[in-house]
Amino acid sequence: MRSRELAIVHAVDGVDLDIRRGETLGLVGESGCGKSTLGRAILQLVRPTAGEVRFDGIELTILGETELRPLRRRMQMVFQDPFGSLNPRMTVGEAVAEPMFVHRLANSSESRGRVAELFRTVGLNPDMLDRFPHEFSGGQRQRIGIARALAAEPDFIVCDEPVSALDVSIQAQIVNLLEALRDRLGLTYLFVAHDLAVVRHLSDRIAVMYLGQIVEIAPKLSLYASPLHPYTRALLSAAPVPDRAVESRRQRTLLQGEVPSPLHPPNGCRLHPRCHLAQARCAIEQPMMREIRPGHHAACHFAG
Amino acid sequence: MSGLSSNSGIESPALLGVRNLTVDFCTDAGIVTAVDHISFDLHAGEIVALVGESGCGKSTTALALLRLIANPPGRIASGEVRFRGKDLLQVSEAEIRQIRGNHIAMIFQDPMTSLNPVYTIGRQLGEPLELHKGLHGGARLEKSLALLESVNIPEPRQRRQCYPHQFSGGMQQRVMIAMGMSCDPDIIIADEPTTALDVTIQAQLLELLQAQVAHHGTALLLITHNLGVVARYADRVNVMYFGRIVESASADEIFAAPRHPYTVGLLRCVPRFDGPTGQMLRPIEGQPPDALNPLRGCPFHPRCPVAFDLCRKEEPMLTQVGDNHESACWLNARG
Repeated sequence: MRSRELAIVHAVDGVDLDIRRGETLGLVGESGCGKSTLGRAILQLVRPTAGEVRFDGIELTILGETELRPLRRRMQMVFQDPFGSLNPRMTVGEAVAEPMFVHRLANSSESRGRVAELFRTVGLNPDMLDRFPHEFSGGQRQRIGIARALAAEPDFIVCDEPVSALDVSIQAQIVNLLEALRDRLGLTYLFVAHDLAVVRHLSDRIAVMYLGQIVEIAPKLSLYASPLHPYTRALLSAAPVPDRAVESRRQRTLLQGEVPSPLHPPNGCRLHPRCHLAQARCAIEQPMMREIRPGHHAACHFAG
Repeated sequence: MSGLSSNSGIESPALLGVRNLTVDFCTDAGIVTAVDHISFDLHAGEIVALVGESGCGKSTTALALLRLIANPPGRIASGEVRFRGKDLLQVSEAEIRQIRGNHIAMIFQDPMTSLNPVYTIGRQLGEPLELHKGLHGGARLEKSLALLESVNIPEPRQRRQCYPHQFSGGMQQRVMIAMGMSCDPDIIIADEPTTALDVTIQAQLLELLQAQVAHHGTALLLITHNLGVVARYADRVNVMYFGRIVESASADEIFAAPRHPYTVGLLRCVPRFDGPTGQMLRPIEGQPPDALNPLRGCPFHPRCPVAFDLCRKEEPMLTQVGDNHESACWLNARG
């Protein structure tokens, strides 16, 4: 029998990435580029079709669910949607305590005190822990989601667009909280977002994704000051800066057209149909990632 | 409110003049005033931004201008919307229908729900042309194709036979923009037109709207929460907070010399990718007030770093603080 698969989408295709202990790696790209899928594949929430993921030296993709569980405790996730990621029928205190029970970190008598402490850590009043999610604003719910991730005492957290559903005045509160927690608890983050400014603010290094592949990876200052890949340049050029004086002087390079379907990605360099630098070679030969400056890699035939 | 003084420095008469517009909603928990006595003007060839965070009343304002507020639960409680010598809030239903889409067009945030999924793109694009311009057959087809081309939809002849679901989000929003421009309106109201889209597509579409304003003298009311978009495209800015306009000025002034503490806070809390790094962000602490339990005094005072006694007692009115620049803050009165 043939399988019932209609088509295979390689949402993430041949990505190589290292995240160092204590580092925040930013992952940027537009919707559908595979950045969230990559975050989930690292955590084994989506099992990769091929390739390996090593966490603290342990290869995760060959482990079964039971073997993974103790490692899962150490790798947590903060989700984008503070409305959809909390169970509406659980009090927020129960939601935060749950990972402690799952991973046997506390019994029910200890958990309440621990949850209250976590509430204070994320800037919420512990008096509110018997309330339900609908009683909280988006920003407060995101704090609850962060407390829940911290409850498992993780080393590594994938933050998947944690502030994009929030208003700007609230975004800054959550960004500051994530930054303070990282410094205090020595956390390692993979920070997935489409907002270039937020990513720059929090990250040490940044990887840029386009259509399932990483096209550029660099320390943040190098990436923003001198981007090498035409896609990164277009992304930076398209994002407006909240400064009138700067905006009136900025030059724009707009990409042509739309992102192609990941079902039929273009041959050669995936950007070539939209790239103003593209030449005949780009349609045939896929560019390899090259180190062009120390620590600054880009996958473009013409970079450097 | 000192609405009548707004934009008083501009000599040419306004294309659209909004005065003391107030919109209420009846909810189970009581009456909520979503828009509270706001006044502003739109001039030909001008891009005016209405900026604020979710729930501040900016989308309600846009809908109220064209009387698109569902009643009940909503109600335009008071105000005037002057357009071509008439008050749009008073004209007959037949008259306002002649104005909607024809003289004043609207582009909504979410193109997936604004386009009808069971009609082809061509049919939907042709509808306003037939209704308002009386175009039929070949003339209508030709105009539709020209419109699709003007918003950079490749192969318009084939594409017009597609259904909305066959288009990407960016292409759907291009169609919405084409529909908005189809009757050469005097005014386009664009409510977060690119919020659902990626930055590279956002830039393409805003350039299209900007070109329309530049070449046809259309006035654009751009409703957005994105201060970067405001900095790049707007000529004039009205900042909304809790249903009120708290500051109004030219875009140059708003960014160079903001006067209201809320505007100052907003500009300060947005991270940038071109400035120095390594500093903490400076958020506006707290949350916006609860619309069901309005506060005494200035609605921003619980979050305001410079609030003093008077702010907790009495609400400040919009007052002139500079050339074409108004702000509703007691500190302005103190100088």
